[in-house]
Amino acid sequence: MRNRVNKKNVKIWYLLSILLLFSCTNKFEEFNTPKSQLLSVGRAELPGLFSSATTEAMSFQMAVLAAKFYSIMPMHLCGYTATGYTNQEVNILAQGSFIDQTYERAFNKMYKNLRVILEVTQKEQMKAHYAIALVLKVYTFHRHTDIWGPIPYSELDESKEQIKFDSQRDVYYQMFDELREASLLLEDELQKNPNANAYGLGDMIYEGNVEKWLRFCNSLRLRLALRISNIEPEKAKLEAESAATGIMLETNEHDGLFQTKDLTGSSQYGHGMCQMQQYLADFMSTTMESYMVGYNDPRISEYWSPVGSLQGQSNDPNFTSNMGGYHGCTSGASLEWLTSDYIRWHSLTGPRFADGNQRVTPINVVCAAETWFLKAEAAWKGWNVGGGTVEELYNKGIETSIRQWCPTIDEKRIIDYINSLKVPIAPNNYPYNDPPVADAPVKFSSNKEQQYEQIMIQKWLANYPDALEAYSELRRTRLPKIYAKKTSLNANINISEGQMIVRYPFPDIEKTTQPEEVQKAISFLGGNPDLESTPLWWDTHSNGHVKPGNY
Amino acid sequence: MFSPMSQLLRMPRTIRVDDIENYVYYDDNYSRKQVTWAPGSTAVVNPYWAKYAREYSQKRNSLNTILSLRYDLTDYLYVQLRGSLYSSNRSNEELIYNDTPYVNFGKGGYNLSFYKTQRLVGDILVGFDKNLNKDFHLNMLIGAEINDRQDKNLVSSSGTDGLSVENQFGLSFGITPTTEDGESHIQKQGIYGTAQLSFRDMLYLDVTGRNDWSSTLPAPHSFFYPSIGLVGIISEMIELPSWISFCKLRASYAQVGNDAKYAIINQAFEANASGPIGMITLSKNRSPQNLIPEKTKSWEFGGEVKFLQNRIGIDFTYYISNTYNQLLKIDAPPAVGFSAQYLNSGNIQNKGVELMLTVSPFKEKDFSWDVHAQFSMNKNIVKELSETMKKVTLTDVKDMIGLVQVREGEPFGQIYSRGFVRNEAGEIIVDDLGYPMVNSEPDSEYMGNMNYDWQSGLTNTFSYKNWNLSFLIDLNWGGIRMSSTESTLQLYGNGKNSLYGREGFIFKGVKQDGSINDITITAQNYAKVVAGRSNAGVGELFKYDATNSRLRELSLGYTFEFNKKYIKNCSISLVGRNLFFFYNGCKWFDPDMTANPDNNGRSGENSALPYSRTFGVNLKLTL
Repeated sequence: MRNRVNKKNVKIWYLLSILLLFSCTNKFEEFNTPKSQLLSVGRAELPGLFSSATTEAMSFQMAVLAAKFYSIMPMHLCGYTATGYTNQEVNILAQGSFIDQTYERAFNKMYKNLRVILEVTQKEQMKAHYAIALVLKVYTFHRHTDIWGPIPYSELDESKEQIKFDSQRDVYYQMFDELREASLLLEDELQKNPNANAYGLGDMIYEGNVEKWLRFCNSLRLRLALRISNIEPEKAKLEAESAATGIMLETNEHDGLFQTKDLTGSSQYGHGMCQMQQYLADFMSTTMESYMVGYNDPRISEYWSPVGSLQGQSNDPNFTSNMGGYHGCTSGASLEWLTSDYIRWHSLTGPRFADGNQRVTPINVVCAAETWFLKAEAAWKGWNVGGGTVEELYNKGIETSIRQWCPTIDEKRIIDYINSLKVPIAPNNYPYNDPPVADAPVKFSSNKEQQYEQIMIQKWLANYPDALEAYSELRRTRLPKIYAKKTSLNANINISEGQMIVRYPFPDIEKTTQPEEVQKAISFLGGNPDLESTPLWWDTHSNGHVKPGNY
Repeated sequence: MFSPMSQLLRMPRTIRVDDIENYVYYDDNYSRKQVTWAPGSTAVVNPYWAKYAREYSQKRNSLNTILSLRYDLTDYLYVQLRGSLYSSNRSNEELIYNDTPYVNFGKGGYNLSFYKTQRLVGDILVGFDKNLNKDFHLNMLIGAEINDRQDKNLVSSSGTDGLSVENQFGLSFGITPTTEDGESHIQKQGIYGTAQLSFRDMLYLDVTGRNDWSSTLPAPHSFFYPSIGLVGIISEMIELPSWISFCKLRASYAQVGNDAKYAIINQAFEANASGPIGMITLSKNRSPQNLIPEKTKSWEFGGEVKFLQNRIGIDFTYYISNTYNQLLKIDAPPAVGFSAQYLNSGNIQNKGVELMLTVSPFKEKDFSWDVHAQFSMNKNIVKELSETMKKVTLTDVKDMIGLVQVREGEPFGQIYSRGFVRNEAGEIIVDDLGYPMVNSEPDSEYMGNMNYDWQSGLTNTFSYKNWNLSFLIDLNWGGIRMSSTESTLQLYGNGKNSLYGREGFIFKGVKQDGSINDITITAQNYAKVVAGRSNAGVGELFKYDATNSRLRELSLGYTFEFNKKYIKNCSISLVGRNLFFFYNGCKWFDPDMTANPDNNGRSGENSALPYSRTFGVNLKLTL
């Protein structure tokens, strides 16, 4: 009997020891880590991170944001297109969440990866890599601040709970510093090794070519310098002249093109304009028709498609006569006209932007032609940006742009265009029947004021389809002349008083996650309200508001 | 987006449903195409196409095995070992037909995925169960448990370029097929002890303690939670008046701990194959910094009293519980670089009462009538949120009018929305064009709370011989629901609310200078200002009182008595559920049919299907 109890006790202790074995937690970390995740990154992961950051930097122009931002805001506001969507302007007011996604992405899709790159490259002393990341940062956020004005920029720190906004002036000043730093680092690198490469194939714009990034960096600095030339001309001149001491984008070899051909996965990643064709959203504007048809511009067949493929059903001769030609759609046409049949009698975007080319056509990041026009404007202002007369620089810009779009074109055709005295025509836009949008010809004028307008017209044409840049320059210079919208459904914009949309209000996500910071940001709007009619810091046109305010 | 309801709401009223019922035609190339009133449009789809041109099916096989061994060491001491293995395999298949807009697949698309789950639970316990003396009895357990759950999945798709042959649904027809894998592995271990000491079947003292270790928590992975409870059968202790047949009182204090979700504590990077060399990206959620396990501490007092030979019974409970460190997933300010982040919220308090009443007014041989009533009320308040944040928006509710927010000092589940701009007298201010001005802050106006103030139900059961009839009436009081459907209908000019002012009207309000508004506006543009899809509208126009009372269930049955060797009896009953509303504050939609009943999505509906009655026949055989 006694023996038996002992045996039982042994069993109990045996079982209790199993119980203790249970509490063994040393495999917990392994359990809690999925094999598809990396927990840390280093040098080896930089190209992959850079690909991802660049792709997101391009997201404005990709399918992911084309319908939510690019097509519904800058494309038609800059005058390139007229929208086929009947409620676009309302979208800008009411469907704020669309544009808000654009705001968020720059930070929580793009910059989060760029931040990691900046940290790793700084730690590892990879100066060229670091500098290129800085250029990509400025490229992304100058587009960002040019939509919203004040943005969080100087303290982008992932460990913080709240991130303060900077005034647009502070953002620009920091961007100038960053570009100067990047330029010096890249020059150093090139002196050591003229064939230097960073990120290799991970760089989907320049395949890691350090020299091209340096050119882009300096051209970008010149672009930003001119942007602030109305509000702070001295700082602008200083930055422009300093940028011009370095190498810049000169030939079409230097054009920045983001290659879409290797993208896979979600169809959201691909050329946005190709995606938008099926939505019948982006039609040639009457402004484009007036300039390009008037100038007999050789680029027209690349930019736009002839009317026809969509076959509107109307028999109205006012529309059927459009067949086969290039015809612009009236921007902001009254809803009585803007029907699905009406829009089909107008020109869609060009053949390279056709549906199906989402992963064929590269996205235009920056073109060398723009730099020539920037130099032309700087020279026109009397700044020293490396020689050449205003006229030479202007002509060089036109030639570079035409060669970019029509590489096999006859030399003579370019010369004829540059010397052409043709002027914009009256677009055939029944029932509005507008007069020609402007009277400046292509041939460089002797009138100083008209010269400035010509530079702006040709830069606007050359920048196509970079609508954000065209929209910013339109706000800065109010050039080229474009047809005002016929109607606006946006209650904050009074067209009859010449108002236009010149910014976008702070997004809901900021208002809900850090309302106090947004209140402070509003105080950087020069005493103006947080509206789409409030001009940015560098925009010296009052647009119905108090200007200049305390920015 | 692709729901047939949402398409139907946006369809022009001039089209009859009959006209689009044949939703398929074959074009000249024998390609299967959609019949639509808007050819080429990607904004609207034939609702029939939306319903049938995207087939989704799910299959599941599962197996559950349980093994239990018990060995009695002595008559009061035993050891028990239990193990269970659950495994399930699930497959999902999605067929997307050619000519389906939004989904930019070539000639149709095909998705196939497999999910495998395996769950092992093992525990061992030693039990002690003995009368200590003639008054005291002790029942004690100590044990340990291990719970291990592994999930794996493989998700394949014909890819963004779709199928190479029209409507041939197989991965080998995919032009750029893709496959992704996923996994999770959670292991929890725990040791626990419970003891129940009872005195003469009239007083029971319960004490428990448990420590858990979870793989989802940062080291040391551990959390402890105890409980203590006391139950007294008063009717056994003292002599009560004869009309009280039974009386029991109870009080308890308990803590419950909770771990986190799988792998959320890792700030990890993800990779994908896009681009020339593949891409790497930081994950989109900020991992919780200094994650603390959730802990709920609750007090509960209650009792059960029966009167008049158990003909009347009351069961009541009062509770107060505080949840500390509840892990909330909230939107992050974009500039921190993450879409969402986790917050260990400070202290959320719930207190409330639950009441149950059973009465048997008649209890005769052939006829009986039983009444069962239930009432519950919960008051909730967010006592403390976090040091830095005083309000957060829950991310679970999207595409809905209004934001569900958690604000310090307010109940959980408050709904806020955009509001009209008003002057001090409360009049709505209109802009220069005569349209009401809308506050751009998405949470400027308080709408209400998504929870009911109280809920109740009343069941009456009548039995007469072999017949029985029962019905259940619900009454739920308070709370609100937002209707995104109405907002969509107004924007598309399809709702009753879009009729007013079609020929122009003057919005009742004042101009910015204070004078009475006299500018005529159109219903169409008005709708664009105040309505919209998703979160754009002005909430106050689309909110409803959630108070409702309905006939939840009605059943009539008859029992056949056989009293045979194989079948003792057979009962058959007709059951109707959700039959009608006595009152419904939401008018045309069911306040309980919301976007997401499980999470925080109870704030409203968006393109909800109409609520339905169900009728059924129950047959029950007793062998």
